[in-house]
Parts: sequence; C-alpha cells; structure tokens
Amino acid sequence: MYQYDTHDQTLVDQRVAQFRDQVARRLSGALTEEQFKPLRLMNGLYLQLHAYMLRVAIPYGTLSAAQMRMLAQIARRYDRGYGHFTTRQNIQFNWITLAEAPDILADLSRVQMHALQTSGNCIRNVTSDPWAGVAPDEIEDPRITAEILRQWSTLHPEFSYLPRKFKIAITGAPSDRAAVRVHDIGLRMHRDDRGEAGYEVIVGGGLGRTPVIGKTIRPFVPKRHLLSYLEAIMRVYNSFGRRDNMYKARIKILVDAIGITEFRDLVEAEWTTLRETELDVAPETYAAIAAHFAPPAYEALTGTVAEAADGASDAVLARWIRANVAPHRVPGHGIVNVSLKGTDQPPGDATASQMDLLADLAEHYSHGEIRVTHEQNLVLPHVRLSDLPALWAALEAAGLGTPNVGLVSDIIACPGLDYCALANARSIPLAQALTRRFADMDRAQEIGELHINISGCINACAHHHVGHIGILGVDRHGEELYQVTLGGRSDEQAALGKVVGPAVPADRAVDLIAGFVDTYLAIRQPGERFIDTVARVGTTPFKETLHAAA
Amino acid sequence: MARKLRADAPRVVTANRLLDGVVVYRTAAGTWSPHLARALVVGSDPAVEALLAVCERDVAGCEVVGLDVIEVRPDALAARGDGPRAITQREAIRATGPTIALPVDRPVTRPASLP
Repeated sequence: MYQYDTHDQTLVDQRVAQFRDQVARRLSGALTEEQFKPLRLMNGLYLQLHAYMLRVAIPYGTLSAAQMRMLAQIARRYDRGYGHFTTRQNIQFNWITLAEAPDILADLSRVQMHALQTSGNCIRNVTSDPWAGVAPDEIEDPRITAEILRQWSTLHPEFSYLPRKFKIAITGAPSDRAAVRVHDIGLRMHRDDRGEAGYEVIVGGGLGRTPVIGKTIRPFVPKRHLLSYLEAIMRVYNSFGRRDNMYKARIKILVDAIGITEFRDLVEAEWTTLRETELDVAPETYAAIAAHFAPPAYEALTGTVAEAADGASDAVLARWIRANVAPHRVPGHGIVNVSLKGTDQPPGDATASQMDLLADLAEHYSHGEIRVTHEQNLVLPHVRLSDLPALWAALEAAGLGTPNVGLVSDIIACPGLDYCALANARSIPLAQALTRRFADMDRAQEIGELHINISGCINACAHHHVGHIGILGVDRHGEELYQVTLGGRSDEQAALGKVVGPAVPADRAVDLIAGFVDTYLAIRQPGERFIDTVARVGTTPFKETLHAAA
Repeated sequence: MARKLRADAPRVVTANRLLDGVVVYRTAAGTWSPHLARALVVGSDPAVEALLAVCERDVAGCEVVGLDVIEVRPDALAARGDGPRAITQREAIRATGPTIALPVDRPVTRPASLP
C-alpha cells in the first residue's frame, strides 16, 4: 500500500490545523456560515438532515487494517457506532458535531487518511477496481496510476475551483469493475502494438440529472503522457465549462454542446503545449510509486475457488464461496468479497465492532489489506483458499457472511431521505423490503447476477441509471414514489436503463421488481443473466408484468 | 427541498444547531427546542417575517444555521392539543429522525484462532 512521504503528511497535518482554526472562527462568529460553508465542504463536512456528515476519502478504495481500526474508533467515539461505505469507495459518518470535526481529521491523519477531495468543485477522490492487483484479467495494477493522479490532483491550484465537481475512475482490466464510462473521465488500460501499457481515455460520462455514457476521446495514451493529457482536458473544461448554471456545469454538458470532435481538437491543441514537459511521469517515478503496490509474499499454493467450493464440508459454506469469493491471479488464493447487505442491514453500513473484526481478519488472512467497492461491499483481496472455512465462520458470526455478492439482494442504495438533505424519497426502507423479499439465498443463486440500484433523488448517488434494475425515488405532492428502469449496466458494455411505466409507491415497487424477476426466470435462455435477457428481448415483456400488476 | 408555503398556513421556524447540526424549532419562549411539538406556530406572513427577523439574531450569534419556515398540520393543533406536526415526509423525518432502525454496535465474537 502507498505510504505517505513527508510532503503528504505535512500537507494533511497543515490542513487539519487550518480547519481547526476555521471551525474555531466559525464558532466564535468570526466567520459567517456563508464564508464557512465552502471551507467545511473542502474538508468533507456536510450539514445533512439531522447532523453534520463527514465523508472520509479512501483513495482508490484501499484500506489498511490500521486505517480500518481508526474508522471503527471514529465511529465509536464521535458517531453512533457505525459508518456508511459509499458508491465512491468512501465512508461517511452521519452523526458528527462541528466542534469535534477537527479532532476526527487529526485522528485520521495519524493513519494517513483525510477528507480532502470528498466535496466541492475539485477533482474528487479517484476510484478504481476493488480487485486491483489481484484480478486474473488485469493488465497492470491501476492503483499506481490512481496514486499518481491523487498526487497530481490534490490541491492542484488550477483545478480547485472548477465549474463543478469532477470524478475520475480507472481500471487496469478489460472487465470494468470501476464504472469508468459513467465518470467525467474514465481510464481503461490497454496494451499497444508493442506491448506497452497505456490508457484509453473516456470523457464526458456521468449520471445525475443528465445521464451520459462517456465517449472515447483518445484510444491510447502512454502512461508517461497521461498526466499531461488529463491536464489538457481539465484546462479545456475549466476554460469552457459553464459556470452560470450548476445543472449545466459538468463536463458531459460541454462535450455534448460542442461535440466530441471539437472537444477533442481543443484538448489536442492544449496537449501540444503540455506534453514532453514536467508533467511527463518518468519511468523511475512510476516505478517508485509501483513499489508501494508490490504484491505481498504469497505462499506457493495450488487450487482454485471452484475446487474450494466443491470441496467445502458445509453446503452453506460452499454457497458463500460460490457467491462471494472470486478467482485470484495467484493459485491457491481467492478474493473474498464481504457483503454489507445482510437482511435489514442498511446497504453499505458497518458497525464499529464489525470494522474492528474486519481489521483483525485482514491482518490474519489478507496481508493486512481491505478494499471498498463502489457496490458498497468490502474485499479481503489476498486470502488463502485453505483459510476460507475459518474466515467464513468468523464473518458469519459477526453478521458479515451473507452469500449474496452480485445477487438480487446485494442492493446498492444511497442514504436517501432518512439522512440526506437533497433526497426526495427514502432508499433504505425499500432496499430492506426488497432484501426481505429475496431473502431465500437458494432462490437468489437461481436468479443469478442481478444488480438493483436505488437512489433517493435525481443526483443518482446509487447509480440507478446503470442498475440492471434501477429505482429512482421521487416526491409527487408529498408522496414517495419510485420510478423503475431496466437494462442499465456499468461494466465494459455500459448502458443507461430505460424507464418502464409510471412511478409507483414503495409496496408496489417491491411487487413490481418481484414480477420482473419472475418474468426473467420464465423467459431466460440457458446461461442468460437478467441483463442478457433484457438485452435480448427489450423491456416489452417486463412492461406486460407492469400492466398485470396494475 | 424548497416548498411554496400558503400565506395563511400555520407555520413554524426551524433550523439546525450550529454546534452539532441537531434539528431545532423556535419556541414561544424565544428558545430553540429539538421538539417540533414545542414550536411556536404563526399563521400570517407578517408574523412569520417578524419571527424570522428575531431568529436571524441567533444566526448571527452562532447558535443556529439554516433558518427555514415549514408548514405544520393545523388539525393536530386544535384537535389533539399536542403541538404541531409535520406535513411532509421530509419534515417528519427531520422532526423524529430516520425511519429505519439504526445499526447497533453490538460486540462481535472474535475467533479464538486470531492472535
């Protein structure tokens, strides 16, 4: 894992001191709320419905055991004993006081963490593949580039007051587990004809009120030139992005307005002034960063995840392995996905005691490393297959053994109106109702891969547009209703879902989703996932379900 | 979300406490209470404006932030005698908290095999 150097630590410590002073001045009245609000947002502190919410950055979703323990300590000491892992691989604490916020940031700095770039119109915390470094299909570990981007973008003087927030996602594998086509910039690693690794650069994707699948602006940029190319994109956006209307200010609006061809021309012209400058990442610099992400010392073992499942002594254990453990690039090891989607568990929430246990388990079974997924689950990336029974038993005893990763009850949901000041409708109760409806894990496995995403408003924090089944909460004259879409996906074949029918109340939404699943089971062809069936037949058969339920 | 209020509707003034963000309501005693039932209800635009002007002093004095005016349910005032109640789901949740059971940090069993 990346370890701070003295520059990193000094920067973060200075930021804590600055924010402590800013909070003191706010509490004394020296700063008004209007003056203070942008300062607190730059430090991840929001004022939500019931309290302050602190969003803590987890760069590219990688955590050490020590960092997880600190998150547990913060949850216990400053919050109500739990935290919420988000769809941007961060964690949010929901019950923070303003007076204690600087102390929390100071505690975070002791484990090389912070809340920078989790809010405001800057380049936000870079997200990545939660299986980075361990996925069998990976070309190179994308976290090396993600860390370079972190260093480049942190407090970048030119890009601290962009027209709007800016999100970058990066994957090093052909299978896109980072949703790169729905980010302002998405980076997807390829090799060129000479075998050199570089990035396809995708621009202008995003969700929210104007969902757009990003377009490839350049099919291949060598790693050495990536920063200069991204800087050129940022400069064009910073120059031409709208600032008069926050709803028209994202880069996707600019790309759509002038067209990808003109946008590309502007970027290329800017790039000619930037490439072959100090923005080039020298091979030795790249190598120095890469050294932080060197693989751990794996034992020489044999065996596959499938063999581990087939050989499991317990049927429940076998089911968990099949659902939650993914193949690893090193024989005899597996990638363990820990579901935070147990029945009645708010999606993405973990208690302090669960976090402490996960830290212990990571140290004992996963070389001290944990990942956060944009699907609001956690990952232990380096587990010996022979340790799976003991690890599963420990997770199961702590309420973390739900065998549903990637299945119908692995629902992605934003905090919704139960917490969020922007939301129009609640997300968590609907997610819980659906989880209860699909609690039968045998049936869930029979249904197979199916992603349900629930957002409580058009800002789409739960990425409902790219859910196989997407659900958007709306407020119609004070009544919570839910608009359903079908056919969205965030993988390498990213697509936006299509609306099926009018918005319905929550109880009908549950019946509707159950009907969609029944329709799928009735018409699917052998080996076809839900999303494949929707792609093959369209939404018409599902709309008939809608009419039957009306 | 911003909501158009009727001119003759019963209304209360709400805010968040600066120090901890807790939702509070302006009372007849000129204090801030976390209980909507204790809020002072006003029913005309001039009365609302006058109350807001007073409350602005507490904004300037760093006691509260995010002043807002919300409609409340009138029948609750007269018939139940237990103070105003929220009309919208959002304000009901602000007044009483999340509608879900919050996670409880129960101790978890740590396997004996762990060092």
